[in-house]
Amino acid sequence: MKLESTVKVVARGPAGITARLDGDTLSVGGTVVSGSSSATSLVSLEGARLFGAVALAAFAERGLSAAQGFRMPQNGEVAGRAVLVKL
Amino acid sequence: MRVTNQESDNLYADMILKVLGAKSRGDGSFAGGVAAVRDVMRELGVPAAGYAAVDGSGLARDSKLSAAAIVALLEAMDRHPLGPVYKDSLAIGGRDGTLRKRFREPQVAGRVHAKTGSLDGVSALSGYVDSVSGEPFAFATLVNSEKGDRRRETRTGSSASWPGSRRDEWESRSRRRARPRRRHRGRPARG
Repeated sequence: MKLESTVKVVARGPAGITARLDGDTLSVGGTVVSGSSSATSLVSLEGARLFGAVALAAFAERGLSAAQGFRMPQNGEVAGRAVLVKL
Repeated sequence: MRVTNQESDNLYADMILKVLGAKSRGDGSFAGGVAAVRDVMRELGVPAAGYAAVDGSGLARDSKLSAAAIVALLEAMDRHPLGPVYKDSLAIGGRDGTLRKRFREPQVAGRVHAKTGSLDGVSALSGYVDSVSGEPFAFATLVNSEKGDRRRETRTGSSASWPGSRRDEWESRSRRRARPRRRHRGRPARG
């Protein structure tokens, strides 16, 4: 599934991302240490590094390619969790 | 509700919780309100293991929500008769409330209905988003940037500042960087 492949791209990032796709539900969690992420290019985040890019990438896959507005540190360690569910 | 959810007013949120307790259980305390919330969450099918509440605003350290629980609530409200009222109470990206200056791009503006959650070191956003093709989604993104550098923070969109608003505690703090930083380790989200 396309969404899953997007997650795998992100999972090649620096550290510790886990992602699970269950039907229409994408769950991601873990820690991203500052570094590049291919997912950011999908949503034009201009080099930002963020765990939340996973969720944004999922949005992008769903046709929301310009989804912007999430806050993110440009460096440092970010941990969190995101869930996206089709209604 | 609109003031609470669109401007993220913590005092309103706490008072609404107490009113809920008073109206439904005859107990206008935090505990009474939390009990009322538990009743509603149970009715909506949100697993009790996914949240812990002790206040209405979520500023209390012991108030916690998992992303899965938030999305479960959003899904339940999407099916609820009052769902449209609930969705309408949320800030709209690029339009109003705490999201007025976020999600402003033409492709996105108006597609996101969501509630922010901000503390020092915490940034959360949860709500509904419509894809370009019109597919509706519920989402919750909870970020704990414990070691992130707020001074270099990038928001993919314009920076928002709401003087007098309680919603972005960390924003005003980040501008007063000389102060020691408050830590919120292990705390996933604010309400």
